[in-house]
Amino acid sequence: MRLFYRWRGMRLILPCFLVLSALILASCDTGSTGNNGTGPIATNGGKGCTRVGILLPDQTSSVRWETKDHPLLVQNIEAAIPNVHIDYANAEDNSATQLTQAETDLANGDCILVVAPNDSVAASAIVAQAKLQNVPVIAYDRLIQSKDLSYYVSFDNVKVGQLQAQYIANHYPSYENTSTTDTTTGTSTQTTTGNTDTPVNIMMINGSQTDNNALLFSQGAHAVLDPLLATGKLKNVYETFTPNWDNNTAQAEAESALSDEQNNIQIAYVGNDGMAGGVIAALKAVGLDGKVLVTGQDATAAGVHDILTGEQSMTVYKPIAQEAESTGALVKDIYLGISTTALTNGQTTTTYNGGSIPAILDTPIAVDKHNIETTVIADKYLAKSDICDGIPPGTDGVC
Amino acid sequence: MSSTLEPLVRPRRKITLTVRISALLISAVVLPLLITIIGSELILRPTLTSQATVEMQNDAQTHAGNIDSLLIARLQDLSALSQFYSIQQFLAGNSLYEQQAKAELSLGYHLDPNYSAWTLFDTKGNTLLSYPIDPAPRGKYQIAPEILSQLNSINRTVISNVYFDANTHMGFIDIYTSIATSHGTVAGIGRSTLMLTDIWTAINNETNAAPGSYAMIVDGNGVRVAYTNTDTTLTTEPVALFKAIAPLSPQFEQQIKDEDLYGNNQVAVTTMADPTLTVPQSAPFQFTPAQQGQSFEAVAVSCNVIPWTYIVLRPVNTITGAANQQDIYLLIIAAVITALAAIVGLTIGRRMTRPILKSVALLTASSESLKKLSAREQARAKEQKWIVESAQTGLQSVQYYAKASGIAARKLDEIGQDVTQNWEHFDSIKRQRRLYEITTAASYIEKASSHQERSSKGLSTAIQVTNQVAEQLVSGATSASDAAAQLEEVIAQLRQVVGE
Repeated sequence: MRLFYRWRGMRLILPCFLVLSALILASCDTGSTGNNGTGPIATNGGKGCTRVGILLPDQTSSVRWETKDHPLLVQNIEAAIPNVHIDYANAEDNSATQLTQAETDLANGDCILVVAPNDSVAASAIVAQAKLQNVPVIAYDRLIQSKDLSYYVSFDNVKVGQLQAQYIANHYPSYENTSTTDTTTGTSTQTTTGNTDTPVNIMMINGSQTDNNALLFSQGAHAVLDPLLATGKLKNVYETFTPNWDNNTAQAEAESALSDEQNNIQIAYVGNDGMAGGVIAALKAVGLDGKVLVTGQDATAAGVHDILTGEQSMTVYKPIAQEAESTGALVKDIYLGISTTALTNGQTTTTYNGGSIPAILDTPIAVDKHNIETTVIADKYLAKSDICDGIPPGTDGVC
Repeated sequence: MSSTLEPLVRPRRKITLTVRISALLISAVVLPLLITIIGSELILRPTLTSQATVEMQNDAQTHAGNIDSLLIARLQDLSALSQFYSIQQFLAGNSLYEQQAKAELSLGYHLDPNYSAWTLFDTKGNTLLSYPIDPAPRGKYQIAPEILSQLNSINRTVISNVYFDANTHMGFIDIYTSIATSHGTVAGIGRSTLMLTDIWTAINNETNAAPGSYAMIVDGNGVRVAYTNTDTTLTTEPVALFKAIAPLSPQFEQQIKDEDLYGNNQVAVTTMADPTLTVPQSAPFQFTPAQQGQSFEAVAVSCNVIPWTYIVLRPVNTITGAANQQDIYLLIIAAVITALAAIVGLTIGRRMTRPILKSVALLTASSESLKKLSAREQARAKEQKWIVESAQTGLQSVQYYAKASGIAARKLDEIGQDVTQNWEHFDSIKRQRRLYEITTAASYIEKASSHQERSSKGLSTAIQVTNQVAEQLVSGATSASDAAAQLEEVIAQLRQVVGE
């Protein structure tokens, strides 16, 4: 009997529920947007803008995005625009998500977008949508392949390669090729009496060929090294690109080069610190660790540690704070509606389709044992506790 | 107040409870399935079609995007390597850098396994340096004139039309960039030759998307430059490959011949008309492609980097076939579930009706028993009524005779007193009359006494009968009690059935 009454009750509730559900579903189907379907909001090219969207790519490729870029960008943009409202989003390594986040920002009235693209090609859709609303887009750290991109802020990647190569150019005379070649057998042996006319052998282990930055690093390096190679001061005995910047692959490449050259290699141009670790392991295996000039990049704790041990010679430090500061300065000029020429200083970056994008390309810093204290430590980019593990106190005045 | 209960005569249902329960269960199970099938026709079928279309759109967009990404990456390769110092120096005329420039071409060549050559030209299109082999001419030219004319300023990149290498059975394109000196003047041209292996492989893999599906790429000239190859050995080309979707202009036909585009020297480029594809299609569309005997759903997505259109095609019957198959599955499921529901319904129905039928039998027995009891009670009641009437008559007789005896006794008393007091005054006649009256009274009393005795006997008989009737009534009450017990059992069984 109770069931009967329950059923009678349900008979009243069910239609109400169905009608309510239909209304909810109907309302869900309207595809409402954040601006209540009023269409694109026209902005004034960012002038007077007090709503800024920050879109970062992921949390997995590097901890930098969340631990450094995110807070530094917020801090610099808040300093640039009084009472600014910032919409922050992380695409979690999904280009479609990033596009949706950008659309949401635009619908909410964001009038400047700072985008570190998850995919430099896919993110061109963000630029296209922003252009419809006259919203400037700043590509942060990674270029967006769109002619309509407003600005690009990054480090001068060609300069990175140049700094690495310049260090080699400055120091290669200290790494003379001391081998002599037995012309009958073609094998070389290390001797103590070096021949300064013999070119210094260099192996070049570049970054990933699918990373355009790796090509730019290599371009910069060759700009400095090619004259030395052409004049026979250096001899490029091995050069390759390393898929995915993989450290183990880099080690295998170094082992292969050492084997091919009977360990007669004095310079190892290595794209970054991670791969440099692999190369050092290969050198260690043949007793050449500390005897070969090894370059790196990123000023990682491991890389700087290896500099202190003498196994790595240098690294390139790209202060993220500077990159975020440049972005903040650019946002400020856009907000004020004044020319950004003073910031970009006439620099441009080209897209694949010939677009010439005004760019702020911050200068990276070469770091060796002489300036660790004044760069990465002074900037609190690294702590001494990160790099001094196992290093004797007093080493290079750092630990 | 009196009421007469009319017996309830209801027509017995023709369908048994077991069958009704089975039917109910079948309805409960099959109705949702029928609703599902109807929904399938009204909602699911269009949804599936829509899903397939969305799938195709995603597929086409993904592939078009991949082509864009691939070509952008390859453009970047060429753009970056072309700015290498030795290459610039070599093109500027410094022969000291030739070997290093060649090493850098080698470096570029190894950036993608699908590169077949990297080449440097002077500004007039003459080959200066190439790795790993000297390039074959493109028809009459090293660089086609319409390409060369576009490379006369800095930061210019051009992607050629498609060529075909008959040796490797593979299409390829040339990517060109103008190379500037450090002074900003054009010093030469860099070219990378990229085999379309990855793109053709993606096109060939389109058959995995759905039965009968395939894909093609139509270039900006209206020529199919990629087409799903059903020859898994890849030693022959699809018939539709390098066929135009509409007649080509004479000028372009001449250009094809001059530049040996699309492998024209091996197999001449002809037209295999597909008028639908000549119209830009932004939404999914249906048509019957050339050399296909059925209608296809198609989605076309344009690439951004190159004027190519990636087209995914899927037979319409494959798309709706999924819905048809689903309907068949639903019908089979409905049939199976109907059978199961019928069996379960029969079993449950029988389980439910068994105690009910048993109860009905018991009720019938009780009813019969009560009927008999009722008949007996009616007979007893009639007997009792008769006895009461008899007893009343007997009692009236006894009362009458008792009264008559009293009257006669008083008469005797009066006569006796009269005789006693007036005996001397009575004459003989009077004395005789008095004596006669006494005799008559005595005789009357005797008769009354006799009648009283008979009446008493009648009452005695009535009492006996009453006793017998009372015994029978007790027996009837016992029978009613038994019938009540049977009814209680029926109630218990029915409760067991309903569960409350």
